[in-house]
Amino acid sequence: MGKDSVTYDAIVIGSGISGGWAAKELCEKGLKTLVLERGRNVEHVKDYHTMNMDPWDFEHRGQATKADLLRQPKQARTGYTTRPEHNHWFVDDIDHPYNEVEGKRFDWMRGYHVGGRSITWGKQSYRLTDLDFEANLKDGIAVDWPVRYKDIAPWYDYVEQHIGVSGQNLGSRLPHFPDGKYLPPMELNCVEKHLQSSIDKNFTDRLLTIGRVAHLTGDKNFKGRGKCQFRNRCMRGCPYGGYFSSLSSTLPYAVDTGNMTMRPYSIVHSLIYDDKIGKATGVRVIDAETKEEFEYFAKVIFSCASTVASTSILLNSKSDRFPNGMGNDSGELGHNMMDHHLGVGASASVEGFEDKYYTGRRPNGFYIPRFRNLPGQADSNQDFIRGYGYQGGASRENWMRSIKEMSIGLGLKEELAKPGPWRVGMGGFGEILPNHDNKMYLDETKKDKWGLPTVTFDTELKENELKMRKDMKESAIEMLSSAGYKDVQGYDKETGIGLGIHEMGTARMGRDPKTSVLNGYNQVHAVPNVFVTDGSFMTSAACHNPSLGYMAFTARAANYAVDQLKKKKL
Amino acid sequence: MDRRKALKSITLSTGIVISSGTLMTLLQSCQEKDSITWVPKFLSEQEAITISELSNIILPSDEMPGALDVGVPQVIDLMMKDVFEDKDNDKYRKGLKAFSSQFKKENGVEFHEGSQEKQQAFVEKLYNLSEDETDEVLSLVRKSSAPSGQEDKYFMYSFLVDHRKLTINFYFTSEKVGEEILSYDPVPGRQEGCVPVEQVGNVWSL
Repeated sequence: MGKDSVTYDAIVIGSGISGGWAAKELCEKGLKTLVLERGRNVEHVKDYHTMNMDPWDFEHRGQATKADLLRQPKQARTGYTTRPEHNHWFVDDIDHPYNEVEGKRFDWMRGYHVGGRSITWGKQSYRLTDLDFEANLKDGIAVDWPVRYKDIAPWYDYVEQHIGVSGQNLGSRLPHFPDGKYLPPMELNCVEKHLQSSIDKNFTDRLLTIGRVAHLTGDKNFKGRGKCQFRNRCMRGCPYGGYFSSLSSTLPYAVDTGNMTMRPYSIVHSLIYDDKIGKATGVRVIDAETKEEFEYFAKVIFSCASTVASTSILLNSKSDRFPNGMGNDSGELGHNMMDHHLGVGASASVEGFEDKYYTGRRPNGFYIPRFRNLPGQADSNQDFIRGYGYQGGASRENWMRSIKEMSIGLGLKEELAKPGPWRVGMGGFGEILPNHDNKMYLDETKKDKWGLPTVTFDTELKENELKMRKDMKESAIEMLSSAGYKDVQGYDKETGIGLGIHEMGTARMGRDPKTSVLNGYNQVHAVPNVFVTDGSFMTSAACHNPSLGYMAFTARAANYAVDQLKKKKL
Repeated sequence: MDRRKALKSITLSTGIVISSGTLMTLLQSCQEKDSITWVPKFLSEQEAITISELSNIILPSDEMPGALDVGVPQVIDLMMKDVFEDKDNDKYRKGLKAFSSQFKKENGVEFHEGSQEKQQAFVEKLYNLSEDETDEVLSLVRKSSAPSGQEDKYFMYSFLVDHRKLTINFYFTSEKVGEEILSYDPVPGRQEGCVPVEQVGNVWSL
């Protein structure tokens, strides 16, 4: 096994949303930092080869070919990840297999390249609050979060101001939907404004606001980045740097310090543990191209490889001290897998706005924050705990509306070239409870082409989620019907855990090493110089997009680690 | 002169860019029968001729380009080869055959051999349905298999509904229509939630 002569101050595993933030913070604080990325290198803008392509520029009008889909049968489950405009940001399922327990689907959607899923993320950016941090304690399930909103709020401020989040502050209207440091909001369209006022009029507990989204709007300058141009081709990579990705917003800052070394094609096999000092001393790496093995050493290690990958690395880091995986004294490592369940909601036709339209392709929609099971709500009458939010939007239909009829001939082209009727829709994002039985583990009998054990998922939606889904559908129908819209159609599609692409919770935080993997600073309880700051730390899932939280917790953990290093406590 | 060679020589490599009207005039000097100017990659030549005629009747050209002016049948053929699933292709072809047989039953010749007037009349009769008939047809083709006794109707209308959808989709996602007919703005630069529809005009292309 080769040994790199250089010892670093810090090693960051992964270059996505969390890894980029760890790299930026650690490098800016002066730490010589090695960033290990298992996939290929990506140069911002230069490598976004589809960024300016129109539908007719793709050989198959943007659809995946049968031959392509043979390589991505699982990635295709979302229905959108395998389109040629961005299928290069998602893995080849043949080279990167995983296993599902029979009858239990798990959708593991990810890409292996510098920038990770920060290139393809949804960009919706919401804060966890004490409604979420206190939830497990109040409900008596799983374990209590070891942090509260006051601990993390300044870090939300910090990351929002750095990445740029467009959104609307609402004052104290909803305590669990706090104000942030927002750039000017995007605009609701006419129908969405109508729905907003209808909800205000008909529901005391609900409101509709424009989505809070990590795009640059307004006049504030962000180094090396331009404003959102409203092309809505974000998933291909943005030539303007109009939205946050680690390539546009964090890694350049790390590069500028001169302290960062980026090593692509570096698959982390495991962490190296030294029982004499009770710490990790480095990482074992397999070169993805040559399959050569290397070891790298550092004082502190940040695992930001993604929930499943970080958990796999820890599970694969076995030693006499940790026979079941590093930091797994509690036995919780790999358990409590969560996501958000979606694919349920309603849509409707809207009349009366035929003379109105919109400009720009807004990479955003509206948001209806959680309104179920809130503190102080008089007898909520729900047969489930926790809640959900909705994301949605209104738009005018295009030519595809004609599949509902059969007309042909002269006049049809002209008719279909006009803006069609308005449709409005909303889909729920529901909280999934942490459940010890929802788990992932390594299968040592099925190895991948680098000789690493593959991951098996054994998860399913449980009773609370299934009950919640009924209410998610009914409440959406209720809001659209009470607004006077026509042809209101509810839907509840079959879904698997993972389809929200928010997998989380498999190395949870907690106060007690006996029941959790990490402490409140994302430190492995038993190995204090290892920090895990991707989604695996989540103690509960809340009901909204989690990435902003990963950024805030990562920045906080990195600054804590530097402080501890200075105090010689690591 | 070899017909295919003659036809190729008047077609640009990127597909048909001259209007179908012009093309028909040019073709008539060589050949009276229906024909196509491109070599199908998946369909048989007869199938390709039939679906071209059908697309031309669904979206004919006038001052606005028609389906043939933007190469719709070529895209359908390519998609069948590379994108659409085999079972869907089989069903489409089966329906195409049922469609042509029905034409032959009524007119004595295969669809691609029929006169333009007879083709037009036949296709219009099949598509011009009352609201109730439309609902009936759309619900028939939504079934996963043919109800017994209605096989021919099921496959023919599955094909007609599908082909109409494909024609419309590939017409409006073509470069010419997408850039010149629809409202095209690749880099909007700004977003306004609510503007008068006249400010934009046609539906947004992207």
